[in-house]
Amino acid sequence: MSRPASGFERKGLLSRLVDAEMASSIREDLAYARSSDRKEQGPAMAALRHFGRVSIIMVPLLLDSIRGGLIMGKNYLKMAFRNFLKDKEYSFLNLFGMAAGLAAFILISLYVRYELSFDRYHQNADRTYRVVRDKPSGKSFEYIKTAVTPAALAPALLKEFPEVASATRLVVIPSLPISRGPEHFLEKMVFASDPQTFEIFSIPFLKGDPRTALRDSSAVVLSEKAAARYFGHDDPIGRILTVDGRSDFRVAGVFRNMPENSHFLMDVIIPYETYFKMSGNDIAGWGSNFSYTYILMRTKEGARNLEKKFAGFLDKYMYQGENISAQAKTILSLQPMTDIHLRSSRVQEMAPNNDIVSILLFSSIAFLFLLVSCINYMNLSTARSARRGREVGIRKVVGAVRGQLVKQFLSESLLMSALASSASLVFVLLALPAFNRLVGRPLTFRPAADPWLLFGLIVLAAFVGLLSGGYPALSISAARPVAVLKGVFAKSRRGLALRNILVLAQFSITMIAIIIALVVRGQMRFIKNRDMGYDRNQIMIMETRDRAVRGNIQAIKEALRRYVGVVSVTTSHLLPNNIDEHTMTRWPGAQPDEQFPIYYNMADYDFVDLFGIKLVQGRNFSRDFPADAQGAFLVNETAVKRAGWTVPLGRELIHWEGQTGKIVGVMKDFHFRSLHQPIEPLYVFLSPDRFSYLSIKIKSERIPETVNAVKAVLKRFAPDFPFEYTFFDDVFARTYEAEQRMMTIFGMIALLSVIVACLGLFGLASYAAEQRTKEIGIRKVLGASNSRIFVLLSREFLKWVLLSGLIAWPVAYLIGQKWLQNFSYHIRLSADFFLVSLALAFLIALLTVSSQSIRAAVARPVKSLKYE
Amino acid sequence: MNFLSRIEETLLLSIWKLRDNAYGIAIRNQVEKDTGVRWLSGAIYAPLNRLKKNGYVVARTAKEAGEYGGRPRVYYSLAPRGKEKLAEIQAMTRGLWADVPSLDKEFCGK
Repeated sequence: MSRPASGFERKGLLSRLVDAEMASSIREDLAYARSSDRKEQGPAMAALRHFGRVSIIMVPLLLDSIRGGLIMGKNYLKMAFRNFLKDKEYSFLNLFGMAAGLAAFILISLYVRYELSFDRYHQNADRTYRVVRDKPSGKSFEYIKTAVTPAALAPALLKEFPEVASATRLVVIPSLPISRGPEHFLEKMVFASDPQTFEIFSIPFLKGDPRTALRDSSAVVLSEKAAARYFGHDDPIGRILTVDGRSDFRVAGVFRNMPENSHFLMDVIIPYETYFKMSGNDIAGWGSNFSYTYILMRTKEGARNLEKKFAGFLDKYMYQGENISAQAKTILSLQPMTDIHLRSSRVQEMAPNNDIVSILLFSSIAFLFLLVSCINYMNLSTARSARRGREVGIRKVVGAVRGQLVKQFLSESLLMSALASSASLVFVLLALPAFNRLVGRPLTFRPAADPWLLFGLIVLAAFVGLLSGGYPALSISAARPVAVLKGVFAKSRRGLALRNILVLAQFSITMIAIIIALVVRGQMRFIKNRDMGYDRNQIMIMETRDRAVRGNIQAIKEALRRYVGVVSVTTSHLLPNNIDEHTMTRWPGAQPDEQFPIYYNMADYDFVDLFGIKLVQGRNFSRDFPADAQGAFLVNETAVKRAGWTVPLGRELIHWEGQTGKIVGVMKDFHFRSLHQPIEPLYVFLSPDRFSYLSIKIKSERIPETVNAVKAVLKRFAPDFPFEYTFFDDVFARTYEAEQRMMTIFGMIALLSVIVACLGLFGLASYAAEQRTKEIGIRKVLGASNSRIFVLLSREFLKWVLLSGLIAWPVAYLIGQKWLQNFSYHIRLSADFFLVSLALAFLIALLTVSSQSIRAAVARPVKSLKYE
Repeated sequence: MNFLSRIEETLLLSIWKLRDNAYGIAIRNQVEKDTGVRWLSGAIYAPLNRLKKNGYVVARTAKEAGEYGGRPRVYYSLAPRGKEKLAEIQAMTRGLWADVPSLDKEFCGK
């Protein structure tokens, strides 16, 4: 029976592997086998067996054909090597440029891959969510998006919704003094959490049982690292740690250190409820918001439905039937845990997160680098097409078909990309430690141990080889033998235009990188030099949660003030550069629609003076006014404006329940958060004994002695206090670490793209000079001066650089503008940036081109004209 | 001397035996008959293709359509080189077996 053959055999693979006669035989055999199958086993089985038979026939044929290809391939490779060695200068330029581009691409890809991997190592990562809260406030009920939720939320969720498999709360306790016997440590970050934490997150235990470890109210669980810090090589289980000098905890478990790609890293965990008892907070309340709530859903789909039920849930539990307008109600939502690191920037995050925009930006830069390297290769290869054109002509005359020539050129570019990839591996390994410091990540590069990475590298090398070799292969192999052998090819208009476009693209990219680097640098300088409204020099900062320090604070302050090196001493709840706690403005008789959210700090009498915050009205807190001790406020100008007070002084405000006081002064606005955010309303409440920071302004001379004196004083009053301090300007600099890093990264990128672009241009310039050897000789014979020749050769390139500026500017403007919008206070994108970048590009291009142009210009015409 | 693989040798023999009637299916059936084993098409056509490429075998397309698939049937026959090769193999095989003691006799290492 005759049936149309299936698509697989009709044209495709079979006809490529064997000639028509053999294909015919095979098809007849297949048809025969199929018809006998059909008789014996029915059509369905026959079709199945037919498919299997076809595949089985193909495999040995394919293997044979590959074996044949390899023999030819060896020849291509040999030719590729010969061409590579024939023109060492070009080959080296190509190799170096491509390796640099590849290395940049690999490094950035490693970084991007790492950033995307955050929190994905948890087995239940795809079903784990963080519950977050949008709190409406102010006259217009604007939402404040916070990451923290009420303490009562997690248990209520677990009780109300069967689709929630597990829920846990985490609280971050900054700097808690912990001691083991006579040794004292200041733990920067202690976590308090529910036992369910270990159900939700994949944190394997080395010792102890994760299910029971946190059930005992006096248990503490340590990471491997923390256990080693406290107990060295001893078995920590059952040992005692004293927290805050008063509560004893027994070590109940040791877990493996959490991987660095987590949005929070836990070292010391104590039970959630115990911490509440210690701090005296209300655990059942819906009012206090400082817990992070994580839930594990039974199914992934459940999350969306759950979000819809939150409104009713809050009515039932939190508002309990109170009559509150819908717009004044809190909104809860779910964040997939794997989104937190890159897509969440809420108030009170556990740690600063990265942001997806910068990741996208980096990825596009990586691709641009790759593209630039490929362009360079294309550029240089097409530039050499005249010489190679002659070779192609001869090959064609002696019988080469175009397909073979294409393969020949592709194998050259593949060889190049293979060599460049190997070189780039070396570059990456050399640059990785510095790169890691730059991005602040522990990236590793071990392709041998990472099959996906290895696979990726091979694909990358093949991709680059094909991409960069594809165009030259097709264009050069298309040469007509008669034309190229006569030397017509070199004058092809299309080739010239294309090469110029490539230079254009490359210089545009370079210029964009230069502009962005300059803009980031300008903004950083702006931040550094801006008057933030407070002093940050020669101020020692100590985090003081120690009970002894707290108890003796007045005596400590007195003792410190007596020392000559100390200018003044103050205590405060928060430091003036990062006041991130807020509440609602309240005063007796305030209407809800008059209230607005206000940031607050608590500090003692010397806070404003020590940090050099200026007052525009009224006075500072003062011991001369005994009423201040009962409660006094300083507000900033923005608060006055927002409230619309004409006479702010003497107004009464409420800090917390029962803590009222009058406004005694108005502070000049200062940047109490980073420059990313605008200045909002703020008050400082006088509160000499609620503090977390002890700040000491010292004289600039003899700082080490002063530091020692401070240490001695603290030792006297609080012998257990682990003396650790920083300087306020360092604390300040840390706020802008991300931007600082960005600046360095863009600087590097600009530098690298300049190098790569120069390599490309250098190749082109030397080629152009070589092409015009004869022309230059004739011009010189006819009387052209060296300088005229130089201008002649350089002019063309500079024209393209200028044009690439026109392309680069709008793009760079958009990117720069977008980046600057992250800051509430930023520099203007003035014309300077663009002109400077153009001047730089000009200079670079001129320097690159001139070495070649000069060589051509000063060459003696006799030599160049006797060529041939 | 350029050795052929055993299946290539068997194929040459089958084509020679089939004379004018050596087309794909017939060759496969002949090989199956001679060796007593079922041969998958893949194991036949790849070596056949190699023989053809290396000039041991030539193909000829018939005028009439084949029994299956409706395409003109392709017949194979030995090229002069193929026939020489077969003769060579025959001579060598004879030489190899000439002084072999009878396999029926005992003598084999335990």
